[in-house]
Amino acid sequence: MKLKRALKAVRAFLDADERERLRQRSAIKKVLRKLKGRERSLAEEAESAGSAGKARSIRQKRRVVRAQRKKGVEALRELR
Amino acid sequence: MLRRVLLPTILFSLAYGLWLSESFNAIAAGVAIFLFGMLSMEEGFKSLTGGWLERILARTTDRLWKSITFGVVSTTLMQSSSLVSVIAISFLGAGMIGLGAGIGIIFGANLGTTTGAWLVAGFGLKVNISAFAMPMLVFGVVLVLQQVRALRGLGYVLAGLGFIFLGIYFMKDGFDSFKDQVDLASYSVPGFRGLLIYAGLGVLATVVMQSSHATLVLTIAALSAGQVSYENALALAIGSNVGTTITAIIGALGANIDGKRLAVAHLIFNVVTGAIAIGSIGWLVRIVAWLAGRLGIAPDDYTLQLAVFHTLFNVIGIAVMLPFTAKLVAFLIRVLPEPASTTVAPRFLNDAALSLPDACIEAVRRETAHILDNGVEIVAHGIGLHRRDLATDEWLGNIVRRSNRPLELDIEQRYVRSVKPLFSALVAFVSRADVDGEAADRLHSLRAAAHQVVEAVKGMKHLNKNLSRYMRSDNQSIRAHYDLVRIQLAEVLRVLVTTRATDGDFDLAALGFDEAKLGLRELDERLMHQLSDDIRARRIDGAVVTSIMNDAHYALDIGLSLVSAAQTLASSGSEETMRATEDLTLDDTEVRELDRDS
Repeated sequence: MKLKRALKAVRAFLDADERERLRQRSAIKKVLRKLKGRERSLAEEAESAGSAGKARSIRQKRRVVRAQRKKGVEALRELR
Repeated sequence: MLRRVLLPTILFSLAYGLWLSESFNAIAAGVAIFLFGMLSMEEGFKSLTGGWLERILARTTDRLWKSITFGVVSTTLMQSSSLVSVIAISFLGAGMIGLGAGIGIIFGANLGTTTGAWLVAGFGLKVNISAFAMPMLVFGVVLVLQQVRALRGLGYVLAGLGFIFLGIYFMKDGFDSFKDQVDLASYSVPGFRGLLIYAGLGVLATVVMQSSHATLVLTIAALSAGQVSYENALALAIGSNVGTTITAIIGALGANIDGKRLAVAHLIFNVVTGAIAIGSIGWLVRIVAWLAGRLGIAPDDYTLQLAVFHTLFNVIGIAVMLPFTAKLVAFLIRVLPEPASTTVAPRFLNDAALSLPDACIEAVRRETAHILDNGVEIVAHGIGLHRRDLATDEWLGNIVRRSNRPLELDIEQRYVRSVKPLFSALVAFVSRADVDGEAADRLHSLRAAAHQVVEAVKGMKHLNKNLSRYMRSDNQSIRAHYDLVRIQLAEVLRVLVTTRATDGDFDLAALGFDEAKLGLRELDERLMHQLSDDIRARRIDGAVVTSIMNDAHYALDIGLSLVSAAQTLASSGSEETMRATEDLTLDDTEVRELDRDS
């Protein structure tokens, strides 16, 4: 098992494409985590929205963030 | 004229020397191989830097002592003060560091370069250095042939180091056998006269070879072979320190005013340091002898003592100049003022920034931001608002209704004066950039972003014709529609003016612009619904309806162009982060779908 893992690591080190794929996945995951945080803070803002206009604006932003997160998850799936 | 005379003279002299003496062959070849090694190492470090150099530069140069440390460490690693000076000048020209930080880096680079003398005197001459050189060359060349950029860069560095060691070996060997034919030491000139003559020779040699390192190594090799006296070698070392400023001056010729200021600071520092060294040579020799004793250096090991001397007078130079850094900055700004200009000129596109991919990309990014700033101002004025109106939190509906008079504005003239020349310069600059792969893609996307700003301004020119007329219309419905168009654009401009990506959140800022795109589309739909109602109620006649529909389309295009340009600019950080941000950014179809679902 250890040998398999070691061989996988060596293969990843020598294989430029594999390294690239792993780096890209890591970068997308990092951005997705930030978007999750943003969606959470928008949800908190929506609870204390004073006016209908502001509430509509926050709903709009949340829709965008959800769409971006969905796109990110699909991108991760393609990079598997 | 000088180049036409100088180069043939040098070539002829070299040819004569090579024909005359075998030993001279070895020395000259040693210098050539050494210089080639330095070029190879520079090439390697340029490939290896990628985006991390820019990222660490901001963090390591916000204080003077950090800048000096950066200069020392980077020069020690890269063994080239010229490369570090060129990096400092490029980054300064691209606006990435301030003049004070640049001066600190130059101070540090002068100290860092002394490690070369220690390396050669302490290691290079005492071991069979060619034995180390051979494996470095072999592995270096193997790595140079790889596809992966990092491995290729490492290969250039390794091969470069191998060539440097090999060059030192040939120089040492050459001087050892040269001793049997000509005793150069018999031509040594003692006293103050000798000091000045050999310092001058040091300057000349460094200017010709474009490398103080090469002059120093040559001096150490000659000293170890007894071909030059210790006192004359010290003078050569002082001269090499002054001569190295010529490289910085040449590098700054294509730089903006800040780059030129830094080159002059470099010259001032080295000349002052050289003058101090020459003026107090007696004292310095005594201090060096004392220090050498404390460090366990043998009294007859003149090469190591030369290394101590080289480090000592640079440390003294820094100690003398450090308290005057702020005064030096003020002096340079006074003596080399910003050239007055009546037309808008590019701020960041200067030839010095072309020398490094990072600096080139950053210069283009900042200039594109400059174009966007000017474009935003033109569009703001086009809809009758000022920048200060956009920077507040006040509801834009109020501001738009209050500002119901068009501003005196000739958009074509503003475009020709403050957007077109910048865009033309940017296109020319990008075409001259010697980059490929992802760096080239980044430059092209920034150029495309600048083009989107140009399109937005041109769209504003068309929109402004009817907007100026109908924003004061007596027909309330027409006025309401054009107010909505103005609010639509003002919303976007407010996002552009107020969004400032903070460190580490470039990706969130870039993705945040998708919200502005959706906002534009929703307002556009609302405008169309309202227009349909007004047409049904016959509140607006047919001719004006067509105008409103065309102008709404212009406004949407202007807004989307500006947001798209801002989104490209906000993308920064590592290549992977930029690509991840691009992958998650919603395209036009996805924004339309979201708008439909709302």
